[in-house]
Amino acid sequence: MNRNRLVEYAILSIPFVLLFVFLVLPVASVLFQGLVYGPGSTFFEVLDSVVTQRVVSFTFIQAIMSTILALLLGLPGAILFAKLRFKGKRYIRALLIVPFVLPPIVVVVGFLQMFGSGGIIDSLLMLIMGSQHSIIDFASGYVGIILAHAFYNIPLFLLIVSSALERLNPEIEEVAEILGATALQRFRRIILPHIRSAILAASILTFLFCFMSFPIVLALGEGSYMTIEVQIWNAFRFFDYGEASSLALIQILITLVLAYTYMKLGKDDKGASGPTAYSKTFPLSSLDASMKILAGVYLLLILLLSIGPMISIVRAAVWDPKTSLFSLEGFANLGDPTLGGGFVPLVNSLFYGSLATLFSLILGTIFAYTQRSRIRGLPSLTSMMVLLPLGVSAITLAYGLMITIAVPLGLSSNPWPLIVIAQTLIGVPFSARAIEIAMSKVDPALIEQADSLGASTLQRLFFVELPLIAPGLLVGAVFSFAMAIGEMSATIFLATPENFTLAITIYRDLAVRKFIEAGAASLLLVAICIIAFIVIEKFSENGYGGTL
Amino acid sequence: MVRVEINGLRKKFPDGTSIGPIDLSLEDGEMVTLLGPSGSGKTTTLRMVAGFIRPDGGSLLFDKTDVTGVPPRERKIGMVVQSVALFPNMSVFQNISFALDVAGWEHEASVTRVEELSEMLSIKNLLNRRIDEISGGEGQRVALARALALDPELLLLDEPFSALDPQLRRHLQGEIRELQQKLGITTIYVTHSQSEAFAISDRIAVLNEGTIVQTGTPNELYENPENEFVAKFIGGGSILRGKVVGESRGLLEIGIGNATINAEGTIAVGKNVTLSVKPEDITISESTRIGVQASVVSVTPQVGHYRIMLDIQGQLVAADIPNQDGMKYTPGNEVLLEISSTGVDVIEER
Repeated sequence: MNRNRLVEYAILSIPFVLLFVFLVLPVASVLFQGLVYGPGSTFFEVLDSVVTQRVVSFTFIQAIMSTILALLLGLPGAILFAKLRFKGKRYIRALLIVPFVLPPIVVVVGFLQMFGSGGIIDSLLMLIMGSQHSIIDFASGYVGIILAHAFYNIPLFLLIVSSALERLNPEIEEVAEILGATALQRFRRIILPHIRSAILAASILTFLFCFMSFPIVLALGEGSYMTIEVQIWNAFRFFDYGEASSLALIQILITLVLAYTYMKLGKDDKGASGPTAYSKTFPLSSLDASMKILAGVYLLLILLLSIGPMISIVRAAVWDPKTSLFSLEGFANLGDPTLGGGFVPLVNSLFYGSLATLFSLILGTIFAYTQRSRIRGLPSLTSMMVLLPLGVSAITLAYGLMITIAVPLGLSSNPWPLIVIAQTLIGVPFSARAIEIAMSKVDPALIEQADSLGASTLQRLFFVELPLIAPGLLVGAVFSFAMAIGEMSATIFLATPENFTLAITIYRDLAVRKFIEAGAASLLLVAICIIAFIVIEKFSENGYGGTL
Repeated sequence: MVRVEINGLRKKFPDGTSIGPIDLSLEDGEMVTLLGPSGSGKTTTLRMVAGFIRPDGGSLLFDKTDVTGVPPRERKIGMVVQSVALFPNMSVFQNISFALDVAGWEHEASVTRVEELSEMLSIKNLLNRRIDEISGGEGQRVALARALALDPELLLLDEPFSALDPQLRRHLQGEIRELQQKLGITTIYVTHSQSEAFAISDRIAVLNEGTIVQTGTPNELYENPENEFVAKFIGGGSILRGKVVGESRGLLEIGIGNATINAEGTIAVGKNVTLSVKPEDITISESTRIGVQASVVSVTPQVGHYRIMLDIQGQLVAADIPNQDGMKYTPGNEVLLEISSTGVDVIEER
């Protein structure tokens, strides 16, 4: 083996080593220590406990119901956006996708403000009915959790399914039509089988996200409704490491099965793909009146659910429910440099988020290379490693990082590097996927040309490959950044007050009823996410569906 | 089967490109090829006939019945497209029986029909295979069987063999022509390949820039192109511009600079004309005195002959010279050409 090859292998092994050190090892040591030494409940006591059974069944049921609701609301939109042409479609579609990049805690603020007791809809109803008391509250308990999860995950269906539909070779539909199939027969026999994998993939991802949900359940569950992740958090808080580890193990086993299935679906999803340049679409005018009304009602409903909470964050930022007055106090707080003010969390969010994005891009780029490697078994290993951060409990990871790294290295008093590591890991699945997709679109002949013209590996990388995958890098960067600044699960576990990010501050403000401060910070995060999203939209030419 | 009349079909697209008016009629059982370069409007015309593109004007008649507004699935058409477009979620059998299933055929009747078609197209051994388990050529046969399942009155073939290697393409062209004649099915075939069009068509309609520029049998188009485009596209002929300078022994004398070429025709002296000369109709004269003076520009070896580009008074013509003679020439040689008067097509410039 020559020296160059050795250097290449050394570089390719970096992300695997890092993921092993910062993800596998910490989680494994927490599980091992918790399960073997405790303190607290044993694995079988946890399994036998009524609380565990209630938590596990709630986690499953809410994830299933959230997935079904997101599917029911997202699927018509995916078909509508892939098949219909109408004015403003691009903007409506973009607006509907924004929720996916919003930090979960911001979603909580938006939901409380839109659908909660004393929220916009409730206030309107109280006004209409002349009531002094709250009439509805769709932002707490079971309903609130499921609605918020659906809100969060509808974009997954919109993106993944419409992207699959756009890849359906239009000639296949035309041939079916000319062979006599009606619209319904074509949908049932051609379109549905084609998008089945995409629907399953979006469902599995949605289920996975809801199954692992932490901030939404913590904030809207009011202590009565707990997912496994919330219960792990509670167990750690009460030093029942045995219970926390047992639950984390159960959770990992379930999520790994789901992640593996998702990965398999990605590999199997091929066949009817065709040129997307003229995928078969119809003008809105070609629909009959009843279908037009149906499409209009659907769009209104989905816009209310998706855009309503975002718009209501504006109200949350300036309306103080305690004084019932409009105020800019929340924004003043964002500039307050004292501890407890909003300036430090803002700087922390941007600093940690930027570093995490940079690292996640570097790891993602190398992973994208290994994903396309011809070395036997390496692509499969890469797929598994890349998906691992999605399937591992962030709370467990945070605790693992604490005991395996922070304590031995003396970082416990200011563990900001660990926050960056945790946020990096969360961005890796997205950055690796976005870059891998960009790489797959590069014509191999271009690389061969660079080789034949005498470019060295580095020259080829910097002058040919990186410029060609620049859009993928940008999409990956934006996704990673959005994930990082919204991350709350690991950060809340690790952060000392001087490490608080905006997401943590919002949660703490909500807990002590500082609504207007939470609203202003949320609005700032929404603005950052929307800017990030516009960048994705501009550079990805609608191709980011595959990133998920 | 059906008699097809395309009367003035036209379509304008938002990007400004337009097709038509297209006028073409097909006799019952006839095979007509739409031939033209990329972007000439062949596929758009075919898709208007199929019903996938709604024309802005004109009409389409099947046996004198206007079907312009009839949806594709009610036109009784079979179609094979360039990408084959086999349903990937179905087996070969299910692909062929698709039209029968949606038409509500009984299972036993479907099986019988699929077996009959698969036997006719020699794909009986493939019926249980998945689509990704068959080759490109087999895929085309399956697509053809699927298109023929319901005994369509009109068959539309949109460059069905363009993705196949030349040998297989030639083989399938022969098969499809044989099948079309056996079934007597009226067929419109789209291709950009002149040799393919000549191999299988009763008649050819040559399209350029959205309109049909000439329709005729392969022989008519080759021997008597009506315009410069057809002359170039069909015959591969060189185009020369000149003027009728006189008549001698029933032949026109056409002046090209100082040189004179004889050609058949009846065009008045003094008129400007365009000449189309096919490469095989030019020979390099062994004589040193008689012929059209030219200089050799390039010599390129081809299968069985040399393609020699010649400069006649600043205009380029191509000549195909057999191997044993062609290898004698090099660029810069001054030569005399003999151009057969029957091989020159003269088109009066308007």
